[in-house]
Amino acid sequence: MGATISRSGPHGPKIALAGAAVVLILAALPAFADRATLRLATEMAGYLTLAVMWNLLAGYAGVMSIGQQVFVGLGGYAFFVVAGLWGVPVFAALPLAGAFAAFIALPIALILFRLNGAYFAVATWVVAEIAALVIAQTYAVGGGAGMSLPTQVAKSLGNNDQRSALIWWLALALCCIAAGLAYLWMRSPRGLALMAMRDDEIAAAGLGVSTTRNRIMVYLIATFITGIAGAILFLVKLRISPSAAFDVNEWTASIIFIVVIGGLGYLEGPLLGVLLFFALRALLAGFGPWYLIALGALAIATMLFAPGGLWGLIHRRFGWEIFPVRRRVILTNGETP
Amino acid sequence: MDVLRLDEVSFAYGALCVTNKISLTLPKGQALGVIGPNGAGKSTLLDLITGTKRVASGRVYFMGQDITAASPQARSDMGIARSFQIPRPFLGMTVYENVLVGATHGGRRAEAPAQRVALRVLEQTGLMARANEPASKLRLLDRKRLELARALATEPKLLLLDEVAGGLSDMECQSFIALLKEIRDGGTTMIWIEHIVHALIAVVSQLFVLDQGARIAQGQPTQVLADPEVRRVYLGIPA
Ligand SMILES: Nc1ncnc2c1ncn2[C@@H]1O[C@H](COP(=O)(O)OP(=O)(O)OP(=O)(O)O)[C@@H](O)[C@H]1O
Ligand SMILES: [Mg+2]
Repeated sequence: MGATISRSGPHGPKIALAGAAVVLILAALPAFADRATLRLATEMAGYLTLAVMWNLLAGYAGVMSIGQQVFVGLGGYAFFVVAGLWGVPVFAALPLAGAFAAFIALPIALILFRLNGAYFAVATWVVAEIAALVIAQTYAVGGGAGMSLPTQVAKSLGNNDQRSALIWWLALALCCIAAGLAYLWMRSPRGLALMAMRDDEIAAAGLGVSTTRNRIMVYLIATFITGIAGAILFLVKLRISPSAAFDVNEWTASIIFIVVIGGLGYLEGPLLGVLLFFALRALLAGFGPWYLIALGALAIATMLFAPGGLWGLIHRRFGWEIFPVRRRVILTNGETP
Repeated sequence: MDVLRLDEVSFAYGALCVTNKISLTLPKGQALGVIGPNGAGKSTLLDLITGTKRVASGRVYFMGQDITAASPQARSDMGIARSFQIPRPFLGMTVYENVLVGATHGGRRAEAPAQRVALRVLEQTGLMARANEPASKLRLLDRKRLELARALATEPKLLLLDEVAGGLSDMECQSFIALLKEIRDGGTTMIWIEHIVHALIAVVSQLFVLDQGARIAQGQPTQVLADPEVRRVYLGIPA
């Protein structure tokens, strides 16, 4: 009896085509959308990028970081220094910002990965707070007041319309790269190793999985992308300050909300979560603090009653998959066992 | 060359000595059976060989190399695989994916060759019919089978089995014995902890008896089982 392995979901080619169409339409957005819409879309793409990376860490690698704002902030600041103070072109400054975030992430990972569970989570937050304090004391980057991006950097990207379009394309590209990376990673044997580690670390190590190395690699990739996303998000704002750059609500709480509500541990989860988050934000904008309370309540309810989030419910009900990472055995007589 | 050599290996929980200066040599291709009363330290001995627990004193050699300080992952790479007495399946993954973890990472293979190994092992262990089921759906017997399958998928030089035959019917037990014989005759060195002595001695050529962390007998199965001390300690028969 022979058998083969199928990697694509039931509607693989159709979904790929639809996905490509959506990305093309989004890429054409500057042709028909105004600047405010582009700015919102850019922000959404940035959040989605952060959410995809946080999901990779928490949902697959078992790394519960509540201090990812440190890499958003460091990426943003690195970009302002490299592009703003040193005059490096924007396109080169963005990957440098990501590299700086990953460079700082390495020693953090080596130290903090010795801690377990809640201790690790708290420690990541402490690290983020320390980074914010250090930056606030660093007068070369404006201390507590922060700094603005020099106008010649903004001008290097063209007039207002050209700049909005360009930044949108950058954000969209980064988002696609992030999703593509997460997808390919989870499809590969490394992804298999991550899932195994998440389920049972001792058993995984006993079967030859290099648990620490895998975790550090994912962490570095996530921080690299997170750093670039931070750079883009603050390139939009043209201003950066410690309180905005290292804001735990903005860059971690919202992102956790997006991932949890969309579906922790599903690559599709953040997509759904980000749409929901921005819809709720628009709806509840007039209610002040109630907005945060509502988001929190919704997240807790999801964790209690639908731990797989919205996409988990959809997946279980309809079996849909946009990013099939699983493997199914098909017997050569066409049957599935 | 000896596949495994333990040199006065000890382990303790605080004052409770669970492994007491165990020495052991295992030539290539040998199948060693381990018996002993509950809590004798049998599973702990496997933990010390795989590196899940670190020895307090003594040394562990594998294929002539000192692996006392090696990580579990490094030991797996060298060719040691085990099944856990209380199964530890990857619950969020399918049976096939569970086995594939061993085939890719333990075997250091690319996915395509690993896939062939995983499918062969599923066939061999009778799990093919459940290949696409999430491991969380398996009952205890199939979970034990999955433990064996994952270990086999690494194509180990040294296979460590911890009570894998418990709960099998007579028929199942016979085919299980046949499977282990096949693995043994393929040249895999083996340590098998089992309370079902008739199954054990159908496969192993040596018995090792543990009691309170220490060796009380070792040798030919029939001789060991006739030993008055073994009968008193293990079988509860007064000498
Ligand atoms: N975490 C622990 N702390 C203290 N003692 C422990 C701990 N874990 C196990 N032990 C003790 O270590 C001893 C050896 O345990 P081990 O699991 O190796 O025994 P075993 O021979 O495999 O028993 P069984 O036949 O029940 O599987 C037992 O007496 C057990 O009570
Ligand atoms: Mg035991």
